[in-house]
Amino acid sequence: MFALARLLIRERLRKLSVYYGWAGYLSAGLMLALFGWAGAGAAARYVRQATAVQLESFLMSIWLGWVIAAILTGKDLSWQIRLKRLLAFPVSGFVRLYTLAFFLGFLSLPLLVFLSVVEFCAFLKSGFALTAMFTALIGIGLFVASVRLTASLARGVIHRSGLLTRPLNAAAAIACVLLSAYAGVSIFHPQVGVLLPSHQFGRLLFGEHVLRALIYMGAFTGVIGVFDFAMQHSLTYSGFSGPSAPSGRMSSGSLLLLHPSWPGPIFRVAILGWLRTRSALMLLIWGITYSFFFTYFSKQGDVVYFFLFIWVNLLFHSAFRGNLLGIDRGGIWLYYMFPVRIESTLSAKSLSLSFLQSCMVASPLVAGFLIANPPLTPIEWIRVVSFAVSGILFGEICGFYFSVRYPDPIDRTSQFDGGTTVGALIVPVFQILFLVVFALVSGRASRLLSPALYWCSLLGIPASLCVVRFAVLQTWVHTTMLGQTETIIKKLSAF
Amino acid sequence: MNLSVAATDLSKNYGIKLALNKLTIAVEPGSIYGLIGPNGAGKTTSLAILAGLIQPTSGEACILGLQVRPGNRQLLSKVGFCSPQFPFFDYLTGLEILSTCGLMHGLAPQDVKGRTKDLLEMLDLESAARQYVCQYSQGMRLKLGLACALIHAPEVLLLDEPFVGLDPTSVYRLVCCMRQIAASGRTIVLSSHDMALVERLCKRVGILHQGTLMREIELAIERDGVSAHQSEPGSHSKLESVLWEVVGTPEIKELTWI
Repeated sequence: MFALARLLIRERLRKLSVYYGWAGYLSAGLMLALFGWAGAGAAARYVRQATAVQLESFLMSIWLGWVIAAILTGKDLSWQIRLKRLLAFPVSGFVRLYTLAFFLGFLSLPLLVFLSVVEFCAFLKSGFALTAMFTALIGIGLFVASVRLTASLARGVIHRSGLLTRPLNAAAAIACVLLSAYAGVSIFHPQVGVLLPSHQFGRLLFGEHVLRALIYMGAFTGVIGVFDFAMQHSLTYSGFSGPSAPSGRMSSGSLLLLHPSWPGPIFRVAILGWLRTRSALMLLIWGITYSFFFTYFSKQGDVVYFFLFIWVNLLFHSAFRGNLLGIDRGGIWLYYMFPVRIESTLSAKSLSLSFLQSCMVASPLVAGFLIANPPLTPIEWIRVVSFAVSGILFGEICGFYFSVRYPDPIDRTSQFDGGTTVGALIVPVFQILFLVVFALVSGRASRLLSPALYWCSLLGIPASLCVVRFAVLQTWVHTTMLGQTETIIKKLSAF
Repeated sequence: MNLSVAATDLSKNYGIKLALNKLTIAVEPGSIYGLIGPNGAGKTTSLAILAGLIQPTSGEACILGLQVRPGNRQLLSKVGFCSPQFPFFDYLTGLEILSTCGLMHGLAPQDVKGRTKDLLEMLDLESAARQYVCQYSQGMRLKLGLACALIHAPEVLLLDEPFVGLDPTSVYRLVCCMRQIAASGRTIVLSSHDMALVERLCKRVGILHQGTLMREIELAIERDGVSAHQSEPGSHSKLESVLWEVVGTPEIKELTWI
């Protein structure tokens, strides 16, 4: 077991080294250290001042947000090991494999930073008591495990039900529905959510009923863990490596042959590709429905609100935006064999993703247009739309750069697909900067410029980004992709 | 004489490893040229260079008089390339991938439909055509790759190990198809480990070893289809004997501990 654990850790380190190199390590380490330092200070202040109820409600938001993000993106910050791949090793019993993968899952840099922050807070809050640190450590483990197991269970039910036995599928689905209903009720009536790990973790950090809190958290994690174990067992020994049920007969491909011939086949096939990528599709559905209904029912709708919603929707696909070729892996070779310019194929992928993002971004705007009271003025609408278009174009520009420079394969057959590549990490950071700069500059310009000039500047930003995207960048992509054909195909594991 | 494929002093280095060393070949139109050699001899690298997917470290190659270089669109419409090492897009069906290839090559949708049907039929992929590629077996993926390489009726076909993982019926059909292609004046360059098939198909064979073209031999082609090939330990085909001569006869090491 230890030999296998050592082997897996060594393989992970090598992979990380190939993917990111020392520059990646350094920048990720610096970012996380900064985040940890700032987070620890802010969290310590908050924990010192907050009441128990406030802390529980705060932890509830973190827990729910974390679970939803993990279900949607397949990333829960922990190290995901595909159990099926471990079957090649002579480890007796699935329990040992599962346990190994479970504990190794905690060896992840972001999780270790999170752990340090919470430990620091617990240490301060308890007046430097070592026992508090120890119980907090167990609490963090159970808190993270509850997120990971809940997300794993939900993703299994949503994506891989075809590979599960009927009773197991039904049991897991019922567990998911009950848990969602319970969490949903707890949002509106926090006193009901006593069984949720967030509630008990708050108690634990406050030093109240520590033992009871640990027992509750352990019980919750244990129950979900039993379901997940049964599901993973079934999936691991299902005999299928593909993501869907083996009997499924799919589309006839008529979308590709439809008239009119515009948009071209490469765009259509790119759209199909995104729609059949689980994470991309789930994010699309979530982005459209949540944005629309939240805006519609909360009846909010000022400029800042729309800016934030647009920005969040753009962030959703960052993992793909920053690594457009990752999903295709070795399939990229086909692009080189098409008798069209190589940048056209990448452009089609980027544009098709922008099409999905536009649908998501349009959703809160439509809801806002229907209900906003008082409604936005025309110039405010222009500002919002200008930000939306500019944000998409800016994302395309960043995406092009990182996709071509840092292509990494994304394993689609993995239950937790969606790679965390350099682009996936940096594109969101750039999007944050873009939001801040755009909001500040456009706000200041509205006061300094005449209305006519202000209109021009709002239209000018997306127009100039458009020029960069469609004129300047295309040439760069062409030269770089052809110059690095071999590297790109190799990195995406064709050879 | 006009050559279909002409490579002069093609070399390729992967870091300090010399994968291909001054490869020079000339292939005439209407012929099938085979590349054989042990694993890591440079067969895939040679074909990938000819397909414009890899930039050679030195040397140059021409296909139908056109300079081989990455992104040469004129060339791509005349060349079909297939390798078992290339995975496809997991979430597209075989039919969609094939149709896209046809459309990308500028074929009319009607032609795409017809050719797709024919190719799927020939390669026995009809029943799997509407399934996602991630559900395909290795052989089915290879067949799809072959279909993609063939759909635009290229002048030159570059096939990297086209028989790997194929069932006997598909091998038979593919061999017949290759002969038909060659008979129509088109050219095929293939690499394979199946000596019997190479012997039956190819007019000329190059033996690669450690990146170097060690020998080229002319073969008399049998035209009677593919017959069952039986080989017993110790009895080698002509081509196999030449290969052993070049790369050395393999020693049989007995595992005394079994």
